This record gives sequence, structure tokens and C-alpha cells, in this order.
Amino acid sequence: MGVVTAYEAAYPEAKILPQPTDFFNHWDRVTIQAAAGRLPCVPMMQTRYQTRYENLGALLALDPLIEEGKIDVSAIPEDVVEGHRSADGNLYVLPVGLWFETFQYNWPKLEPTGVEEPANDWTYERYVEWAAQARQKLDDDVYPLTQLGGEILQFQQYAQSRGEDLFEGSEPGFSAETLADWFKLWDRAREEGLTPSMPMSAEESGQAVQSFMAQGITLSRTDGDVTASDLQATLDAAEGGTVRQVKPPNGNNPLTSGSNSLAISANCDNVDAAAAFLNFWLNDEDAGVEMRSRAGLTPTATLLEAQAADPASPSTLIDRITMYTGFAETYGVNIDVWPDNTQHMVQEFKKLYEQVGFEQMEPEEAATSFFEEVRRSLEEVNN
Amino acid sequence: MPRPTTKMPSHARRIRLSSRARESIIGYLFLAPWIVGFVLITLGPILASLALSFTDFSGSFDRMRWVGFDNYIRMFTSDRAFWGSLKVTSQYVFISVPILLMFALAVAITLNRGLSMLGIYRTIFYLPSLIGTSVAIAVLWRYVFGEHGLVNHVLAVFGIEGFSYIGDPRTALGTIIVLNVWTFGAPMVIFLAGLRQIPSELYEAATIDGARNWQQFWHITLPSLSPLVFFNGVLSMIGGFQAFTQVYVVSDGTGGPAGSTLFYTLLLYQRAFTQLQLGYASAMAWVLLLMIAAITALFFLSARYWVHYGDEQ
Amino acid sequence: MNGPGPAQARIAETVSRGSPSKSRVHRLPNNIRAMIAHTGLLGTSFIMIYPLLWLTASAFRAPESIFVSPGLWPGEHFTLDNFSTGWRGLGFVDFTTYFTNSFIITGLSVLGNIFSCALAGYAFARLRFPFRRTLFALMLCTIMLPLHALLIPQYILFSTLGWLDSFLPLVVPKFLATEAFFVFLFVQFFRAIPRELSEAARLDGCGHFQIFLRIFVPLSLPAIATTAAFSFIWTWNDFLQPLIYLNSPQNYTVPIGLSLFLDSTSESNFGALFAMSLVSLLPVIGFFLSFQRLLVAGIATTGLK
Repeated sequence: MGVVTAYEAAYPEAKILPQPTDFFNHWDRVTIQAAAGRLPCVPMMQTRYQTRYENLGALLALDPLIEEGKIDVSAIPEDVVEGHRSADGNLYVLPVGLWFETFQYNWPKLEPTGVEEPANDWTYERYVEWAAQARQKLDDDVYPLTQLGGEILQFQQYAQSRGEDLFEGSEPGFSAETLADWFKLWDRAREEGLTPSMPMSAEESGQAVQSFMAQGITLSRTDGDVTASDLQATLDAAEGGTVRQVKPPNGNNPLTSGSNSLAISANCDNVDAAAAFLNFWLNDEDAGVEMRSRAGLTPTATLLEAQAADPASPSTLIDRITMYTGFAETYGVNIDVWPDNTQHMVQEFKKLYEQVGFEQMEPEEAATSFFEEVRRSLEEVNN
Repeated sequence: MPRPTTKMPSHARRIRLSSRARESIIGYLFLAPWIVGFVLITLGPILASLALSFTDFSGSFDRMRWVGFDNYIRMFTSDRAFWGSLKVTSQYVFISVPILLMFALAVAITLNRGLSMLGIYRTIFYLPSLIGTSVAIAVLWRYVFGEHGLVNHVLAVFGIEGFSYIGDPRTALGTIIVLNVWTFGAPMVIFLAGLRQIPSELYEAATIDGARNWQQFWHITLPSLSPLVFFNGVLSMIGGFQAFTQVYVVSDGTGGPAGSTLFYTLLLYQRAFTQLQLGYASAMAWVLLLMIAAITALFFLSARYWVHYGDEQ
Repeated sequence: MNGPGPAQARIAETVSRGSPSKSRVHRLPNNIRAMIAHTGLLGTSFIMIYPLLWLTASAFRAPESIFVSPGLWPGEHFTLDNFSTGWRGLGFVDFTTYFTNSFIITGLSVLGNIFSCALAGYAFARLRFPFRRTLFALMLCTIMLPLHALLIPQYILFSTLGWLDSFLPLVVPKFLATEAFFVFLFVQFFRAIPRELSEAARLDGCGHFQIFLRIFVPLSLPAIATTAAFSFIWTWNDFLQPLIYLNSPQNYTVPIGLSLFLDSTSESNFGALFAMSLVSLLPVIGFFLSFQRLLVAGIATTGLK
């Protein structure tokens, strides 16, 4: 929001019509607008959604505008820009906010148990062992782990730690065996009392402030880096502890990062103004400072440094910047653009694990079923 | 706007037209706003969705192809989620609608007895309908039916150990049914309005004849109210088949746990907007329309046996 | 049987209000019966009102403490900040704008629905014309198709008309009786009115419009009140249509303003959300309270002229 105000202040003749809304409603609206050929000039995109609109031909290739100097991307690391390139060779979106998953745990509750503190290069197998040790020392009504068997993003970390990934071009990047192992890992964790029961886990809200960790029911959880401050605020209100974060458990692999991004729609009738706005958002220092926290970390290196140095920046933002730069230096960053239809896979994955957990389905059967679903879905999209 | 036309003096044409023809013209004049709206606003999108149901439309008209009945065939032969959602939705409709209506009718009759504080009760009973679809409900429902929820606290007093009713696929649908019954305000208000329309002298006469309470209910209240019982029945049934917002809010849009609350319209929404299978979703919409229309037709066929209108005596 | 004249009905109403006629034959004394009824109603009331109490309590709690305990008393976490931060909103404009927009759209929708649906209801209930049954069936079919299947065609229609980002797509259809629910409601109420009433008026030389205005409208005040209340509530709470058709924050309605507090990809503000949810309930409750006088009025106080 602040960016638009700043832009209008800097360029009084420009009229920007923002269309703010919350995340899922945004995609419903954008879908309808795209189908009707009425997208706004600068639609907000995201690594998990952009492929759909690229495939529909709803977005404008930005390469010519960059070559003409209308959009300056020199301050963004090249591999971050290139990570957003579509399979057809064009660049349709430019990132304005990076985010990543973290493994979050409650340090004051873990410390007295004497169990070792999680580290950046752990894997999920290691976490289950860790949880089993913590289980011995914790109160009975505190579970060391939140149930993550249905979280496709966490399965992605697991697959990566085994040298696989979710997607490999237009094919599934994982094997059905790996997925079955994942399901079994969480079944075992639940049966050993390392996670809450299945019905209880199915009830948990996705919102950090309502999560089991916020309520003190679990010792740890995973979520986007930006949610940690919400979680901490709730814990503070109940004097429930302090959140610490480490890299999600994919071993020594690069950090998987997504982004919120901006694009220019193919039906835009004022491309120059749209390009100017995009350029402003990416490079203007005031705008960058305004943007802090709400849509992720700015990928523009100069702005990120400015935010880290700004005494007005909240400490949680500075923590995230430090964490991100640390991960980037040690492990590297992998911009993870998903193929179309992946939001469906997120839901399907959760549903299948719940069917395993409620003993409606065997882990192997669910794994095969999901593998086939991904393959079929990717085939459909590529036809 | 049709206001001027309806004011047209009807006696001006009395001389030339038969009374039947005149009534037809007046009928269409009264109906003019609806006809304009139907033709200009409603009909086009409805026909478009029918046409789209025979295509593989997925967001781009340029790449759209006709696929004949493929969407319909796929739905009935290879979409397991479709059958699952049909089962869930039917259970929901056939359990919650009768309970909802009986509850609404019972409360309306109780409230219509001239108790004091009537207005306050009526407002209180309508409150859930006002907030039944807000985000707050999703939060609250966990506080009531969750593992550590209100229900289990009450059960614990009696030494019964509960579980998470929202999180268990065997009971999750039940909590949505409770949520629906809980928002019985709308049919209750309609019943109350109908009860007010029953001429009091009917009851006076019956009382003089020595009719008992339940006899009065059976012979006066229910027949007089039957057009509205019919109305609420049909509309609650249609609303039940289209139920979306409540389950969307409570299950975070997933229809979980394990697909146990994946309602028909939620699946349709997922197919349309999550998967961008807009042609297929249109076909699902038309199958739903045909099912609802068939049940509605049965309602109308049965109406002549139990619905009593004031205009046919 | 004659329809109730105004005087008769008024008397009957007074009688039945004073002491419900039904109870005369019952054995239990009135005050005990009333106590039983009140006890049952009070119990039910608590279940009904609990969420509102909880919402109210949450609105006055510091945002981070809302999910700490589900109790009804904010205690040490009491604050009024949610209302001030909430009213400022997260868009470009504050809730003054959202409320103004909601009032305009809702007010026009109420008028439009009453006007157009009552006319259509009268036609279907009392007039004979060709294709009446077919048109009625078609009308019912329009509420059987799920909204999500119509969104894109409708969006294209309104975008072709150049109506996007204005109130027109939300208001104009209401004046054209597109809400079949209310047409059907009027049909059912009108059909409950004895035919003799209108026959008598016809003999006096009244045309259909006069009969409609002077007999059916006054006798159907409960139906009109119901339509008004439901139109108000449903339009006020409507989310999807305003979301799609209104794009700039200057045109947003209250529910869209509320949704901005809950962005799942960044920090949420539940305190402001609940505070503003509570404020947004006030007009709805107010409207419902004032409409129910009309509902209670029933046929007794309206009478025929």
C-alpha cells in the first residue's frame, strides 16, 4: 500500500488504482479477470501461481522493457531474477518480496530438557529422533512436533534431503517410495506420541496465532518466515516462550524460496506507466522501506541493506534479513516456481495424508495415488 | 423502469379487449421488471455456462475446444471426488433441512404465543444467522467442537472423554449440520410472519368448539402455514445443495478432514478456481441444477395433497 | 368465510395478545407455562448469543491475547485500540468509506427487491397469462445454478456494459427481480390471501394495480418486512460479488474491508478484524430490530381501506 502512496507522491500526474485484497480472494478475482481479458495493468503474482497466467498468455514478457532500460533490475541478484523465468524462455514477473519456510521451535521450553538445539542442516529423520528424546523430558500434554505429514511444502524439504524434489520440469521430481516413507515417518511419529492425535491435528488452523505452538500444545512447527512475529506476539501474551527459527530440514541443500512478484498484463493499455511503476517499486528506497515485512523481503540488494541499517525497522524484520542472508551465503537460494495446478496438489496432498492417518488408506496406496495425480496433472497442463 | 406502464389505466382498453387478453397484458406489465432482468442479466450467463459445460474452457477462449459430453462422462465414470461430494451433500441436506425446519417452526410457534420479551428473543434467535458465515465462526467452532472445546469440557463433568469433533472425519459433517441448524433464523422469521397472517378468529372459533392445542395446530396452524412450510422446504433444500460459505470458512476451503466435508459446491469451486477446469465446473453446475430441479418438481407434485392456499377454497 | 375486516382483526388481535386463547383449555396455569417457556427460551438464547458475546469480548482484547483463552472476559488485556486501528483499515481508505458504500448498495437493494419482487409475485400469484407456469419454473431454475458457475459469464456481461468498479452490477439486478427467493416468497404470501377480498374489490371497479396497492401490499406487510430484512442482511454481508465487481478501495464494502485484516501471507490483525466485525453487525441488528415492529404489526394494525 505504502508503495502506491509514495509513487503518487513522487509522480503526482500518475493515477494508480490499487485493488488490495487478501491472498486467496486475490486469486479468485485474478482468475476471473484473466478469463475475461480484464486483468489490471500490474497484477500481483506469486511463484506458486504465476505459471497459470503465463500459460494463459495473460502476461507481458518483460525482457524488452528491461533491455530498453525502462525497468532496472541491476540491483537484484541475477540468479534471483533468472529463477523467475518461465519455461518458454520469457521473464514475465519480477519479485518484490521473498519468503521461505522455517522450522520454528520454542527455545525456553526446549532448553530445560537438555536435548540438543536443532540446526540448519537437519533432515526430518533427524527431527523425529530429536522429538523422541524430547518426548522423555517434556510434560505429557506438550508434543515435540506439530503433525506435518499433510504439508506438501515440508515433504518437499524431505524429498530434497534425499536428492529429489517435488517437480522436475514437467514430471514429478520424487518417487512414490519416498512419499510412502514420508507418510510412514509421520504415522510413526504420531503413534509414538510425538505429535498430537490425528483428529486434533486435522482441527488445527493454518493461522500462526491460532496454531498449537502458539497455544503451547506443541514445541515446534513450520511456516513462512513472516509468521514468526505473529506467533511470538501470541506467546508473549501468555508468557509462553520465545520462537527460534532454523532452515527447514532439507539437509545441506539450498534454501527453497518463493516470491511475491509484479507482472504487466497482456491487456494493459499503458505499458510505459506500468513499467515505470514496477521500476519504482523495485528500486525506490522509500518505497522499499515502506514495503518491509508485508509481502516478504525485498530482493533488491541495496534496499535490503538499507532496511537492515534503518533504526526504524522492527527487530523481527532485521532478524529475518540476517537469517536470509546467512542461509543465502552458506547454502544458496533456490527460487522455486511451481507449475500450474499446484494449489490443487497442496489440498490433495493434505487430504491423502489425512486418509492415511485416519486409516482409510495405506501409505503406499496414497503415495502412488498422489504420484499419479501429479503426473496426470502436469501432463494436462502441458497439453 | 416499469412504474409508469403499470399505472396505465386499465379501463382505457376495456372496450376492445376480452377480459382474458386484458389480464394477460396486465400480467406481463407486472412481470416486466422480471422479464427484463431475466432476458438481459440472468439468461445470458446461464446459457453461457451451459455452452461452456460442453467445452474444455480453462481460462482462455482462444484455446477452448468443444468436447461434447466428455465433462459429463468423466464426472460420472472417473471422478471419485464427485461421488464423494454427492454423498456428503445429500447427507447434509436430508439430515439438516428437516431438523432445521422443525426447529424453526417450533420456535416460531412458541414465540407467537404472546410471551413477554418476544422481540428480544426473536432478535437473539436471529443473531446466529447474522454472523453464521463470518470468519469469527471458524475460530469459534474450534472452541466449541475442538479437542479442548466447550462440548468436551461439559462432557468431562460427566466423566466422558471426548475427542475433536471437527477433526474426526466421522463427526466433522455433523458439526456443519449443527452449524446449519443453529442458523435457523431465516425460516423462523418467515414462519413468524406467516403465523401473523392467520386470522385470529379461526382460533377463536376453534376454542369455542373446544379444540385442544394440538388439534388447533393440526387443523388450523399447519394448513394455514402450509404455503410457507412448502416455501421454506423448497428453499432450504435448494440452499442446502448449494451450501458453500459455512463449510468453506470452517474447513479453510479444503473440505477436510480427509474430504469428509467436501460439499458439491466446494468441489465445484475447487475445480473451477483452484484447478481452472471451468468447463468441467460448468458441467457440474448443470448436473446439480438437474438434480435440484427434479427434487423441486417432486415437491410441487406433492404440494396439491398438503399445501392449502387461501385462493383456492 | 369473509376475510378479516380491520376492526374485527384488531379486536381479535387484542384478545389473543392479552391471554393466548389456546391456553384456556390447558390445565397448567398461565404463569407456570410461561415460566417453562421462558426457561427453555433462555437456555436456547444463551447458545444462540454465545458467539456474539465471544466476539464482543475478543473485540476488546489486545490482538495477541485473543487466542490465549476462550473466556468471555478480557480482564487485564482490555483495550479499545482495536476500534481505532480497525477503523483506519488496511486499504487506502478507512471504514467511513466502506460503511457509506455498504449503506448505499444495501439501501438500494432493499428498495429494488421489494418493488420488483412484489410486482412479479403478484403476477405469478393472481394473474392468468400465457406461459405463466413455464416462466415460473424458469424463475425457480435461476436459483438452482450455483453462483460460482455463473461468475465468469456474468463478469464478462457487466464488463461489456462498462459497469465494472461501479455499484451498478450490484444494484441494477435487484430492481429487475433477479432474486427469485423473494419473488417466490411474495407468491406464497399473496396466495394465502383469500380470493374473495380481491373479487369484492373488482366488483367495486378496482383495477389490478389498485387491488395490488390497496389490498395485497397492506395485507402483506410481514412479507415486505421479511423481504426488507433479508435483503438488507444478505446484501450487507455479501462478499463474493462486491469482491469481483468493485476493484478500487474507494468503492469497497464493509466485508471486503474486513477481509483485508486477514491476509494469510503476512501478519494478521484479529483484534481489528473482530472489532470491525462487531461494528459492522450494529446496522444489521438495528435494521432487524426496527423491521420487527412491522413484522409484529401483522395484519391487525394495517387494515383495509
